[in-house]
Amino acid sequence: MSTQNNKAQNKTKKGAAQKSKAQKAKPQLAKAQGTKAQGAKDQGAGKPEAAKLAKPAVASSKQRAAPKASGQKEPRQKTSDQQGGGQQRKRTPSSQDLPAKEAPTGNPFRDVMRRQSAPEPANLVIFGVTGDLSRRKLLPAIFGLFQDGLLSSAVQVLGVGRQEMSAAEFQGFVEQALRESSETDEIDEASLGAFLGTLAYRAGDLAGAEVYAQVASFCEQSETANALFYLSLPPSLFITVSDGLAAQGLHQQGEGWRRLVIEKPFGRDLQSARELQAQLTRHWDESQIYRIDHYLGKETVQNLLAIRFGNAIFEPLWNRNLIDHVQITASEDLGLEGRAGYYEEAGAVRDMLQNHLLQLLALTAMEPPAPGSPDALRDEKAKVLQATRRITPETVGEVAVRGQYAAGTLYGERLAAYKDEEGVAADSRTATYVAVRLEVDNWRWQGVPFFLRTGKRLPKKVTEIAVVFKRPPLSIFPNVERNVLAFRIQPDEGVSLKISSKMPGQEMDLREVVMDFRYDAFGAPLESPYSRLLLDALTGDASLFPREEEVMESWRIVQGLLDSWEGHGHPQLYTSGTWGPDDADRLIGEGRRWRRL
Amino acid sequence: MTPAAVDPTCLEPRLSTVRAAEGTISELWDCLGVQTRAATGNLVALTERMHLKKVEGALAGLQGRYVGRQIIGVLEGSDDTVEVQVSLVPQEGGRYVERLVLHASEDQLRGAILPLLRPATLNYIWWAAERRPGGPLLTELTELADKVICDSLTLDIRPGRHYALADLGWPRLSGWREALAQLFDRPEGIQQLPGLQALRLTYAGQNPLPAQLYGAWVADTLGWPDLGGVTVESEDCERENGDLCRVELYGGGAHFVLEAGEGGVIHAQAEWAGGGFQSSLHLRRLPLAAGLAELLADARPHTAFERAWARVRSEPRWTVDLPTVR
Repeated sequence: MSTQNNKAQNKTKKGAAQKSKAQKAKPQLAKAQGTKAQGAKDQGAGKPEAAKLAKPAVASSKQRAAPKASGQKEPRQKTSDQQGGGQQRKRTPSSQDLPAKEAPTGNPFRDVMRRQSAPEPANLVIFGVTGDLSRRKLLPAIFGLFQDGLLSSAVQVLGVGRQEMSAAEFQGFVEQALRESSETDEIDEASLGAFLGTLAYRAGDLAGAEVYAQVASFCEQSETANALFYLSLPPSLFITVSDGLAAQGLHQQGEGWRRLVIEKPFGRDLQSARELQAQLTRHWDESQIYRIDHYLGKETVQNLLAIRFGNAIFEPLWNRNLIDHVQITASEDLGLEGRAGYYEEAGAVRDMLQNHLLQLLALTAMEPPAPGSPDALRDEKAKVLQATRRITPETVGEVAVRGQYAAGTLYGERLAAYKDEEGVAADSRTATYVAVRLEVDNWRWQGVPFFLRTGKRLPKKVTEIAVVFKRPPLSIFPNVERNVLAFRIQPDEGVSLKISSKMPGQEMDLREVVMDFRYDAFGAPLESPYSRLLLDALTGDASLFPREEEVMESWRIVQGLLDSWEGHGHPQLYTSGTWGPDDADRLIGEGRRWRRL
Repeated sequence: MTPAAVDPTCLEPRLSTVRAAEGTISELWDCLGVQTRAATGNLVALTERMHLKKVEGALAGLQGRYVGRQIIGVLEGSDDTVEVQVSLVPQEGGRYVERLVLHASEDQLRGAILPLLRPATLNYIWWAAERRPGGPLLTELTELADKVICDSLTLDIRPGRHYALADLGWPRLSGWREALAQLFDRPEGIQQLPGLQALRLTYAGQNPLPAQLYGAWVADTLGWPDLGGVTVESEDCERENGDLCRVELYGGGAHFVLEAGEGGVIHAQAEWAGGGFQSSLHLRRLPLAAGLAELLADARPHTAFERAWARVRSEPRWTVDLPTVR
């Protein structure tokens, strides 16, 4: 029978292997040749003759020297840093430390692995580790990677927070976070114990220098100089931490790579985004900055690329000739959930439209990226955003609608108005709903409107991209509806195609039917977007992280909205539990309607 | 989609015939009130009565993934009319899997299984039986198969024109493959590759086949012309039969060692003149269902596996006498 394990019959005898724990913990290199070779040894395989074996194919004559940034120092050879557990560890040079001697071209074992790269040894430093995002998303994602064997012990996790905690208290904090978060994979207790043992914590005031000195000391004592700094912090602290790290030289890539992961929002408008970029790039190169947009880590967002570019049938349809318009919806049923301070500042434009929705637009409208180029995806997205007509104060009235939720009911519960939420100003102008009509000025999309809408306290939580096709140019049937190809990002992840079909009966009556593919037909749980993006950041794959020009172009597109709305007028009120203000229907225009989701 | 309260009688297996089985399935779906069904694939598991529980357990462990229809053919010699036990097996998230269980001789199964396959979707064949396939049953099924999963080194089912060959021993080694790959993700590790000349593997128990596959994979990946440098030995290491205990790759003054430790950890150590490192990696648990899921996840041929398989089969030290199935 072809099965994996047969524990009952075949497990080897425990008593036979009397290795001590100390022996177990460290492989014995001296045991070079075996003692019980089966067949091979007597043929000389146990002590192979060099002449019998060819050189590995990887030892090619065309070998490359590792890249080295200009101005970088020579690698430091540090070999005996003390590390937790009393083990003597040797500093491992990174790809940037390679001497100029000839080297093989890559890891041949990776060529046949599903995952084409794994993290090099690195320090993963999380600023704001005790915060909400870290507890709910980041720590479960890191643990999931560890439990799946994708993070080795060579990736050291250091949490940084304001709260004083001992190592044991921090481990307890992380354990509780993992057990409470719905994002945590099924916990294997042995894995959890091993994971907690790898964690370290440092406390301090991010405005002072001491905490950065502690981080520098941690990195110094680590076996590797590689470091990923994850800023799970409010935007107001980005520069503080960036400067603090730089003051310790932790941005310098002389000995290993250094990367900075920044959560959204990147700035609060075009000007502040430029200033933030300028401040960051005083120390960090653009290639070191990873702006995280967790939507891009969602499997179903990546499935949009898979469906578009993995199926030849869609490309001939994907243009102004056959597509009437595109609707992108990100609706939330929740209100503020205690985040009034943040949301009063951000509103729907900064919270959703400028980043998530425009990224979805770019993925929907972009040209096929060139294969094999790590920057191709970002290049193509940037082109779409560059071609997207910006909203100006003159056009705001025609192409945008803002709303704010009023009291209402949802799921049978009475809900307060936005202005009655705790922490919200009584005369708040903050938009909790926004809908815009955008146009992409290029050959493919000329004249095809993209309608984007997002809001809070809408009837349900749905994220969807719907490509609405034109009606047949000449129909022999009455009431023919448009075909719709819809990508559901969440929930009920999947793809559906709405077509018209004849109803059974003597009459030639047509009716809409939906062909539906649900992602859960695969059955496998969807991976956390954070685990995907963390792994990408650790391996240096920035393709799913928006680049500077994408962010700036996105701000450029919505800047007119901000200029027109902030401090002027008021959003139209809509009843909580409905699909937004009435003006949204006016925006979409005659002969079209928002999808009923 | 799924009604809040399910009538338990809808989930009880029903006896049917091959001809009426499709109708019975539809009745069960109607009974549940489920309208959305995904035709994600057929999995035909051929087994013997003594292994039926284990096979059913593995299929349950798939949690509805990859195949919407599971057909279990129990090989037992009756030439009577074939009865089909039809059921919808509930899965997490309100999904159901169609399961059809047939008890019959190989001849009977051939005529019974083919009409039960959902058309125009992926077909996986899992030979989960100890008896060696010989008759026309497997031949017919492999004609339709996208992937054949079997104990490939003892059953001698060769990679075919239409289907990919897969072995549950391969995913069982995935953690060890990842661990070895990680040793050479480090640039300084890559530099030692040209000098490596020998591989010594130890495994637990009496089943050397997974270790042989692993050794052949390493040799193939490094471009070694044959398996002369690969030694496979048994060792008592408190692991399950056939599990790897230790991997030692060396030559040119460099040593790379992976060793199974306690609690599912692989300890790694590398040394060469003037350098080296140690690390450890968590070895993902891979029960039978998880290994099966990994093979079902991708219907395409796995060329690295097929090359390793071919090397093992052509290694004179490791050859076993096998009947051949075309």
